[in-house]
Amino acid sequence: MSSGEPLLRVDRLKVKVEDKDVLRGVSLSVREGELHAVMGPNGSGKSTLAYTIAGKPGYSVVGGTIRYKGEDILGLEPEERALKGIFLGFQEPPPLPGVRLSTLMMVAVNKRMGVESLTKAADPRVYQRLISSLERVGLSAEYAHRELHVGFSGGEKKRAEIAQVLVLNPDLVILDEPDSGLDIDGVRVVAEIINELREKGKGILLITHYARLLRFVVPDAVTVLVDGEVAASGGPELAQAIEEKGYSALTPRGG
Amino acid sequence: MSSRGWAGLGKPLSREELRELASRLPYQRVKDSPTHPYYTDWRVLSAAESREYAERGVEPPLRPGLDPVAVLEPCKATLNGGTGVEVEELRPSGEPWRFPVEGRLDAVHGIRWCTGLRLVLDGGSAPVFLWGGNGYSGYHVEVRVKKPGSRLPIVTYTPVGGVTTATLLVEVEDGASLRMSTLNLGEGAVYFRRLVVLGNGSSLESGLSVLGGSMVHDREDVFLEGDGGKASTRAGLVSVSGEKIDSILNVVINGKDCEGSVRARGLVGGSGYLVSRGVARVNEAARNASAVFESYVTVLDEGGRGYSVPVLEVNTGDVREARHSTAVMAPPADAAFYLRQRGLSEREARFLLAMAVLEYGGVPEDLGVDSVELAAAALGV
Repeated sequence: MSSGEPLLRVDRLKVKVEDKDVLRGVSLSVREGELHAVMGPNGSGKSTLAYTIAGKPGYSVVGGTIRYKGEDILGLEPEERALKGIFLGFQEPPPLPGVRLSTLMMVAVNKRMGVESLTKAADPRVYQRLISSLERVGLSAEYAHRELHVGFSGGEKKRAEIAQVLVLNPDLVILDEPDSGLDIDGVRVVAEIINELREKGKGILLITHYARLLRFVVPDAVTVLVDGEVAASGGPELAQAIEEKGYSALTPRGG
Repeated sequence: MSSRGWAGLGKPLSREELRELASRLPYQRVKDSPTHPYYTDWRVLSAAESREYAERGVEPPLRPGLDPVAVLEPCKATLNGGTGVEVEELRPSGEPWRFPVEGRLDAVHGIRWCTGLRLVLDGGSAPVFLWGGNGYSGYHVEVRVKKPGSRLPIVTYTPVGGVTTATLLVEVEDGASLRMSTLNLGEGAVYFRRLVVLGNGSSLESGLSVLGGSMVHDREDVFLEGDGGKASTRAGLVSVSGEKIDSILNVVINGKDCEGSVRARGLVGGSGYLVSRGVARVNEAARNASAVFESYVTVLDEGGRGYSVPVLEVNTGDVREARHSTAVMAPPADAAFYLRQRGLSEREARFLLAMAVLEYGGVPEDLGVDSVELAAAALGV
């Protein structure tokens, strides 16, 4: 990555999902140690942006580019992007019957270390790191052995996603509505961790509908999407304005 | 056996009676469902009636990391010692047959089995291997568990083209406990029935991993006869292209203050066929019981067939907990993408799902079997 190049650069991105134009020329960037909040009303394309960066099949890029660490990643498979350091915390993580978080994390860490084993941890500290990460997000060690997201409450799912960030140590963390389903204590914990990640130089793309989480983490940049387009961009004051006036203030018919 | 006797057993049958039943009984008396009369493909298993005895047992490509106290092969038993274990060879004799005969194949097995074993567990571990051969193989094992902490790891393997019938009778005496881990490596045709009876304050933890074969009929009946007994079964079932499994897990509660649970996870790949079914029954004599039956089957590909029928039957008004749940489902829409987003390839994601199912009952760990090799065997890769 050349100096001055952002960690993530999305340029005039156009995305179709099932023949529907969902993103129509979105541009933004995330630098190392930067928190970029993407806000917008329901259906504005926030999650589509997250999925497209992560490479979800079925999300067709019909225009624009995505560069990560200076590299065009549009031709990469989702797992290749993940192994390069892109992590997506899902808004609605799927239940995985039979798959334990401990097994998934062991395999995921092995992959990052270039080890193919699906049963033996290449790094013996992984398990301990998982337990301490779970405790950090307010989940007991028991969650390491439970089937991932099976029977989890909304808040537990979000906490489990954040715990994975701590174990996998990605460079770019995309968090899709990490505060939904969380009580206020949970929001505080997540905010604390986001701030720590930022201090460690991680780039964070925070997708959020409400500005609630932004009371605890002050974004470096804010992009507001409406109908798949950038309706506004600015600094933390933009999030504040949205909290006070709502999204209608940004739309042609609003305010 | 204890004065309590074997729950679920009918009257002992002589060989003449078995022959008579084998000639007139159907493979099953009651159809399984209006739309799918027989979950088990009895045409495949009927080979047990006429196939020549296999000459020798075939070891599976997957070797358990345990030293067996006994290896049973067609008409040959190799016995080894073990701490806290008594081992004795059991041969067919004129003694009346005590295993319940519900269908034709039960009677055929009662007549044809030729290698057997009697075990007494005093807190020890008794790994038992049943190696089927390229022909008919029939096994019968009886186990008495006298002390807590006893373990019974069982591996059965039937090669392609072979047909195996096996029965296992286990009594867990008052206050004793058993961890039973069963790995049924299908491939050929397998008819394997296990019956476990628990006394007062005794407990059973049963882990089960079943891989599909030409037809694998795998059944476990657990009877909580004494008061305060606990039995939990966790099963992982994997059937891929062309393979068939009919898994039946029953738990019957007759004692007071008992807990019985069955949790099954199934995975179907390609054109595999898998039935996960059974009954959690709380009988009238039971009081303050807990009965749980969960069964979830995931079908990965369009050509696969999965059935899940966990039945809950409560015959008393005094029950602490009684619930069942089931689903036959495609993988959650985002599951594959989720795993890939964590860095796994599509193949590894599929592998992990199979491995997770096979590890569900804790069997690979108990048997010292590599989960990756087991998943590879299950997926045929």
